[in-house]
Amino acid sequence: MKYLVAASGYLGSLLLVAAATLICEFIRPHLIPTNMVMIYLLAVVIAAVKLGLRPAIATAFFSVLAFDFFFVPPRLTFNVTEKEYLVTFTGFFVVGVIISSLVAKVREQSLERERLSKEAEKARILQVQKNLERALLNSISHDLRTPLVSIKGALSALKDEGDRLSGEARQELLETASDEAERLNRFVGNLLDMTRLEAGAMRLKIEPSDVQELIGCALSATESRLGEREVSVALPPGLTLIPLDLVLMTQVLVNLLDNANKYAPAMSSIEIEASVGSDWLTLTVADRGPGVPESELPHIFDKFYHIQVPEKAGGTGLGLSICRGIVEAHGGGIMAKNRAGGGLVVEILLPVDVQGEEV
Amino acid sequence: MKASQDANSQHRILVIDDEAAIRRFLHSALSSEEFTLHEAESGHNGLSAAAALRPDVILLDLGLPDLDGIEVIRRIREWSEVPIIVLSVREREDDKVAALDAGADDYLTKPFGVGELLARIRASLRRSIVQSSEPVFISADLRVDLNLRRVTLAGNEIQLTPTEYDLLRLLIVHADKVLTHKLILKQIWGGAHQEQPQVLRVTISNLRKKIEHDPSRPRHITTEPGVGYRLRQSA
Repeated sequence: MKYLVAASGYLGSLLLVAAATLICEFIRPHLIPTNMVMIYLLAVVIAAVKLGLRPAIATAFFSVLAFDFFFVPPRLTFNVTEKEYLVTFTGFFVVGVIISSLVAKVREQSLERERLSKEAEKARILQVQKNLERALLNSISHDLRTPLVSIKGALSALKDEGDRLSGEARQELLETASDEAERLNRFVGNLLDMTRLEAGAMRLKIEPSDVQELIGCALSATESRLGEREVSVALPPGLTLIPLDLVLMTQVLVNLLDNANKYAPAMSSIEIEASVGSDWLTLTVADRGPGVPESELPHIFDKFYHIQVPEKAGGTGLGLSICRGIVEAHGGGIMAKNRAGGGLVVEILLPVDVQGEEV
Repeated sequence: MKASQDANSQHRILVIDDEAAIRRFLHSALSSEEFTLHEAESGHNGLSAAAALRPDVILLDLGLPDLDGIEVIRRIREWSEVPIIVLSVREREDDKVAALDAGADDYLTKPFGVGELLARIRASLRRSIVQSSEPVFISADLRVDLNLRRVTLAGNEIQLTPTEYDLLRLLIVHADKVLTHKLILKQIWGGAHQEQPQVLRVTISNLRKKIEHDPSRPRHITTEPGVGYRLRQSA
């Protein structure tokens, strides 16, 4: 490979010299031979800029030979009758070499600068990636470990101290362990979903689906966690079937409901609404929580993004990004807005017509 | 394999799962006066245990090291109608459908609670003991008289189309059991409609509007996303 590159460099010098020779041949009737040196010099400069030092020196050398052979009388021999031309040859060759090395130096410097800045850019990206990975790892290990701490703590208390604890305390420990196991299960599920989304391994099974059924599935999956909280559902009459993946879109609504449930005050209600236009189905989930600062709104669907809420942490930072991944895989969009009167509303748009699918 | 057949009143449960921790947990959770538990840690051992023990219920993990769980179901179904409850993880909906279509009676998504597991086991036992379903189905305020083809909700008569009634009847005959889309389509619409799940969705939606108090929170006909439908019978 290296030899090939070198060979192509020298081939380039031969071609340049040939081109210069042809040009000189055309203008020969109008010029004395000494002035043709300028055209050969141009070839040397081009070689120095484009091909590097050695091919440029080779170009200077070939130029002298070609100039002598084709244009210095007697023509078509290497003989020289006027000895002045020897000065021209020497001068040309020396100037050619000097130009070559100067140009080559500049060329190398700029190449080096380019390489350095590329390397710096690469290092910067690597650092950003490393920081992100560290943040992800911290976040994951925190979210995996927190429930495990509670589970292990509760179970060891029951195992070692069970006899000394009151019935009430035992019950509380059992419920803690059970709730936290449930949380851990959800997190692992989210993590798997995220991994599958990122690996492109999430295959959508899009079928004409009943939106009310979709909402029903999400409500049934979150029932135990929503408890007494009121969830209102508003659907337009005569809503037709919408092409979507029922399992994955259920997951989207479950994540949105869990989120609303986590941030909204205990007895405030959550509102689910659907409406359909000619091109899009709009699904909204609205809560009366604290909302999200305007500057952070565009980021809440990013992976592992936590909004800064002083109390009540414990979000995985994955739920909303999974929502976005799934909705976008449907060819739809998802966005969040703050509500008038307080709270957040997340809006999902899904295409009513999926390509190649008849509804 | 442990335990032995004690009194005849005890139901024999065979667990086929390669995870020792899960077998251990099931053993402590299920062994009681009501059940004796037998364990197999591979598909082949499970098949010979099923033949030797003649269990009343089989709990089968789909991810066995030696034999595909679906294959285990097929081989058992060659000679036995014993209820098989499949244990599977959430994201494998297609596996669940394949298992049900191969002849499994029900499935549970790991991780599951013991209460849920016991309910499924008892429902399977009930179905295998009482073959002919009762002529009158009652669940909460829903009452369906299969002889008279009469459906009432809280005492009020409900008018169903013939297709809606057939669908409801099919679900009642298999109460508490999940029925796959494929099976329902075949039973109600015949082979021609196998590729048209829309018909089923629309009929379910209409049926829910008639028999559910809140069709957005169905209590009678529940959806198992990606798998099928289940009619719940509550006291």
